[in-house]
Amino acid sequence: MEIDKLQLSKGVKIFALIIYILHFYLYNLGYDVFFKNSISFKSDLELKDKLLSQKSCLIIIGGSNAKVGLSAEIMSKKSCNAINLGVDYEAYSFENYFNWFNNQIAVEKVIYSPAFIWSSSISNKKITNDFFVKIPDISIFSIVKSLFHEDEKIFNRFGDKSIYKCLPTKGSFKIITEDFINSNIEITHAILKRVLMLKYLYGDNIFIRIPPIYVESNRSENYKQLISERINLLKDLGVNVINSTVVSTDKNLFCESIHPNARGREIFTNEISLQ
Amino acid sequence: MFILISLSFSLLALVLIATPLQKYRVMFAWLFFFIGPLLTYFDLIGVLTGFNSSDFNQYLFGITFYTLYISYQISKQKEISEINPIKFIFSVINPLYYFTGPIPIYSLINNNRFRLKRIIKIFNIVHSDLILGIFFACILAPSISYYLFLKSSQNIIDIVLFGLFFEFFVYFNFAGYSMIAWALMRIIGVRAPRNFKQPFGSTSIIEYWQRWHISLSLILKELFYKNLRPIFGLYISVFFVFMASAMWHGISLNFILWGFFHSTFWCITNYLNKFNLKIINYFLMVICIIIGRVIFSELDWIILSSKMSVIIEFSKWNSNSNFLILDLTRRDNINLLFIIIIISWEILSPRLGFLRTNYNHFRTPFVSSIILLYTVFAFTGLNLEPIYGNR
Repeated sequence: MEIDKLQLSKGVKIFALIIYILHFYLYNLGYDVFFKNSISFKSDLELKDKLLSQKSCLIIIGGSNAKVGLSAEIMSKKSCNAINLGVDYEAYSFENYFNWFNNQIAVEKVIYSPAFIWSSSISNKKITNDFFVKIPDISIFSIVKSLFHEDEKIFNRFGDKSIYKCLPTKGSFKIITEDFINSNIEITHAILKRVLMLKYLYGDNIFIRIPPIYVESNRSENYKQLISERINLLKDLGVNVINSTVVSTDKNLFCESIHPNARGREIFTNEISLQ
Repeated sequence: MFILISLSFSLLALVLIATPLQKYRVMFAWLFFFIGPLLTYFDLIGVLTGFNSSDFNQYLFGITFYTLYISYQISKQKEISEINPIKFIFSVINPLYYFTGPIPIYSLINNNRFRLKRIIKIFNIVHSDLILGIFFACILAPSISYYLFLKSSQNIIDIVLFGLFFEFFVYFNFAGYSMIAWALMRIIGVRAPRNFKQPFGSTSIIEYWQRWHISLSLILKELFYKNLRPIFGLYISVFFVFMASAMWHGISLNFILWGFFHSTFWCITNYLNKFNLKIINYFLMVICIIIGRVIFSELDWIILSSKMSVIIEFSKWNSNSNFLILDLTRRDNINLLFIIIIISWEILSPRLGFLRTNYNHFRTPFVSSIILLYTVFAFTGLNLEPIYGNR
């Protein structure tokens, strides 16, 4: 039987488009609805829920930079028992995130690592209304693969990722945006608001840790100067800011601009542990 | 806001064209051309190294592209009667080419652009370009981007590999987004030249420049070459063309060196053509592309000088490369395999007797459907900006 190549090509194209529309739909609906028993599709909040019942003296909170950029295990070895409650995008809204751990865990100290200090926008659920955010940032290949490999979502008893390797999916070493120049007050007041919420629960021992970023050497001074203005503003507002590396020019410590690799995580965590 | 600014520029251009000062037409055209370079000089927009595409002024978005278009139109239109002001304005403020080109120089907007039948017909023709563009820009280019960390290395192997990878990265990103913009413009009835015509199939640096960023080359030829050639002769006018191109990317020392470097190789190649030394010309093209890309990418003059001294001084060569430290995912490795296949095809197809034009073999219905299928399965969103534009 002779195959009509043109018709076959048309069929393949229509099939590909249908597959993508289905992927788009399921991604926005939540793959976990259909794969309830697979941890690949569970959110970080669900997977870290059991950590809240543990006894600890220190929690690390923040977005992906806290989740992959700090190690509670290393901190626990150097001081008291620590737990890493970092979750991607701070669960999209700090209010939701705050309500999650609120009153469920009693600790003496909190280290908050807000990545949005580097940007002009604040992580908020409203971004999910943006069409571009609705475009799946995970490929169909990865979805299929994740059904068989769940290692990447496994956390140890400290809340750190058990298997840590760089996942080169976004951004790479592209220099991060500089559009934060004119919004120092907006950003620092947003952080202050969150610090006050945390203080209400946990007392005065709330520490802000500035997530380190990778910047090319010729621009590092600009970034240092700009972030130091924000740090000084925070200090003026009475916020405790941990002294640590904020701008690094060593690419070997990073997966990409804002996320350290395993070596970077160890070095940056040790810096904090010493204090 | 940026549309309003581009609208103001188009109105200003119309006023200049309408003045009786037609003998100053070339000067007006040059004036518009140098707006972009001057803005980079005063740091109002970023330079275009390929590493700072996020460095743009939101009010001046697309300015280097539409001022080029305006300057071309001023230079090209001999009589004011040839310009339809409304079409001209719509062509200038068409934002589809603002983020990466190609500049729609062929003709102004068609009258029947919004007829559904025509749109479907054109879509059937150009959708394969759209697919190939997305495949290039969103699937292949990000996989090469991981090798760009070699930029910070001063090792000779890393410098050369960086030049090569960065060239491929710029190519797949820039050519990909250009194809997307080209196809979308065709759908709404705007004709633009294809920005790329399989440049790696070239046999010399002269041919390479006929196939790389074609819309810019055509404008530079119209604005500078045609006007300067009768006065200064071939070589000096080519030098000016490359310098103008360099300045369009940004006023900085590395671009001046880049312009000088490419114009020199262009002239040497042109001279050697007389003796039919094809192998030497091919070798010069490879050197020129790789070293040229290293110069292009490095704004820091001290680092660039240091890299150049490593290339020139054999005593500084060593094998301590960082190339192998990167651990890529399996899919990125598959993408790199695709890149090797595409580049190899570009290089080999003319030597195997195929025509080296317009990616014909990648746009056939069958190949296009396979590319779409892979793209759909591997697509992770628009995670890489057009590296060559946004200003």
